[in-house]
Amino acid sequence: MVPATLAIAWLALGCEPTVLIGTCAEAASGGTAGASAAANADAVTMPWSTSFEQGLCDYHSAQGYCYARHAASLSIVSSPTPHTGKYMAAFTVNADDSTADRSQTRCVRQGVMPQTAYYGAWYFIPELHTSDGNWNLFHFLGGVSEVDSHPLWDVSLVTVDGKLELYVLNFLNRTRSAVSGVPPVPIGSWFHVELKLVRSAQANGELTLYQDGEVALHLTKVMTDDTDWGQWYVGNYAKTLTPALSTVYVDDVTIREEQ
Amino acid sequence: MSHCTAAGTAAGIAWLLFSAPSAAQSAVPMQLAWQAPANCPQETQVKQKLHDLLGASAVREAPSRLRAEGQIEPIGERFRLTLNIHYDLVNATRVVQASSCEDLSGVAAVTLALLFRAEQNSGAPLTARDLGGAATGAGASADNRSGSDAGNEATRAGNEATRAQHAENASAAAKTASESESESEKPADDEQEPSSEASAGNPSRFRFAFRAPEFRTDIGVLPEPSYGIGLAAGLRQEAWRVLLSGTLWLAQEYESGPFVGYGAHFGRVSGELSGCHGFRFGGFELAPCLLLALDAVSARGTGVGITSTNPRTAFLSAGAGIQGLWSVNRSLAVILGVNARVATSRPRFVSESVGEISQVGPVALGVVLGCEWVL
Repeated sequence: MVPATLAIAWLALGCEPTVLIGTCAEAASGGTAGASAAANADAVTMPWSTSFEQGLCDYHSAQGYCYARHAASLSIVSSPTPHTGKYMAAFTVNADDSTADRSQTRCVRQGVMPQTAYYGAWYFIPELHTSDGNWNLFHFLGGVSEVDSHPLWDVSLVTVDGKLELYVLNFLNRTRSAVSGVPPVPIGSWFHVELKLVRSAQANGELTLYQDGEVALHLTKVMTDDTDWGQWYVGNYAKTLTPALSTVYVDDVTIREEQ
Repeated sequence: MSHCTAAGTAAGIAWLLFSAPSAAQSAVPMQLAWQAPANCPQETQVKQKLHDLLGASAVREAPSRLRAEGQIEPIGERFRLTLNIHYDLVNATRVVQASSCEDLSGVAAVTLALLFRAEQNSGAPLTARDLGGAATGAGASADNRSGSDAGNEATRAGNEATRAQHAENASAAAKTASESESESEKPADDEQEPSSEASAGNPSRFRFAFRAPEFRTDIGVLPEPSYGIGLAAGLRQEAWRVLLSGTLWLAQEYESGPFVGYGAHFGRVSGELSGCHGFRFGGFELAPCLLLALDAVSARGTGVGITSTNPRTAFLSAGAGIQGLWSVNRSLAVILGVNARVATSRPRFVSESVGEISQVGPVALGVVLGCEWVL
């Protein structure tokens, strides 16, 4: 009788009921959210961070998400040595230019972005790859929603003299800015990438890129956003790499008010 | 018992059977065509004797798949009975010679009565060996009885009864024949109150059947192919069977696509109600089935940062299949079946932070291999 009742109940509830088989632990934070986190569900609050000790739950708890598409994969790993803690995220793509779709796996924070904030993450690239210039580490989108959005800023890697260097791409005016005063990004060791964004819909915004705490690029009087809502992507996205299969490790992702 | 003694016994039984033919002709539960010289018992008399042997209730309640054609020919001063017996596609021929055609008519009636009881008392189909005692098969016939005499045939009939485990033994059959004969002298009583022997030979039409073990595999319910073991119990009535089965499936660990390390631990039990109708081809039976299944699936999300209460869900599916049963003996058959089921509900198993881990497929395809025991 009990199974029959259960069966009828399921039939009554619809054809594709959702069974929640796993939940994020309530204290999912290491992902520390600001005290005002609950005040505005649409706002990206500060400070926020994740070192992936709770897996991907810090993103989930902050209304973010992670994804992997087109032969990409995402895993939480403990080797090689994380920057801090026990775990880090491993973003793996297969950047084979024979495929039309870009292999990509990233984690996303979204909402109304802070007026001024530092967006940072620690990266570990285990081996050298040659990049055609579109090996993206940070990506900012603006718009009304994810469906109605457009790119704003990229922080990517390009191969220069056989070494990898950061650069910034401004999608609003289609300009590309190289870094200066910093060395190429290291291979086989952690390095910190941080972008300070002073948002402005007019031409009085400001962007500063830091590599391991050193200013690598500073732009002023720029239009940074044309909408309040936005997304920040951290992970691995590549069009063409040699070798094609690439894993980058990411740890200690932060959004903070001060450096 | 020597052949000579057996011959004498059979001849005696046959003489008793036909020395006082019944006044009333009754229907028999099988098709019988009969040809004999004018001075021998005719079809009406043979059927009457068969009816007397089986009892009225057996005739009314238990249709048979047996068919037979009997022919008696004079061979010099003797007579020869050629009895062609058919059971679905299994055929056999028995040839018996005797000095009396009455004896041969009796042998035919006893033989058919014993086969009828063997058929009714066992859930398994009759085999070529049962029909003819020699290598015969579907679509084939054997004529290797030439030269048998009535006594040998009676001995063979006794052996048949032994093979039919639930049927009476040969002596009981002979006794039945004798008693029926004595009662046939009182046809009115026979019509209204079948003998106790006849009642005993008309068993319950339902038989208990169970299957153990049943090995199952299927795809379409859990994300990976599933393997399970179970058992079933139910009832058989002639070619119909209804079974209720339960299966415990091996647990599965599954990682969802791009999120390495994230997935679920699945557990599953299922129950199935099936109704099948068998079509026999000798010792083999093909049985189309309709089935209704209830799956109960538990799933525990896994991955760094994920906790789970191991929730359960259940869903119904309906479908059809076909089973092949090979009868090892009267009590045991080996089963191999395939089936397809359509789910009435397709639960989605979702884990926070990574989304959908798996979803029950719209169609499940399964295979079952097992043993069926019929009591």
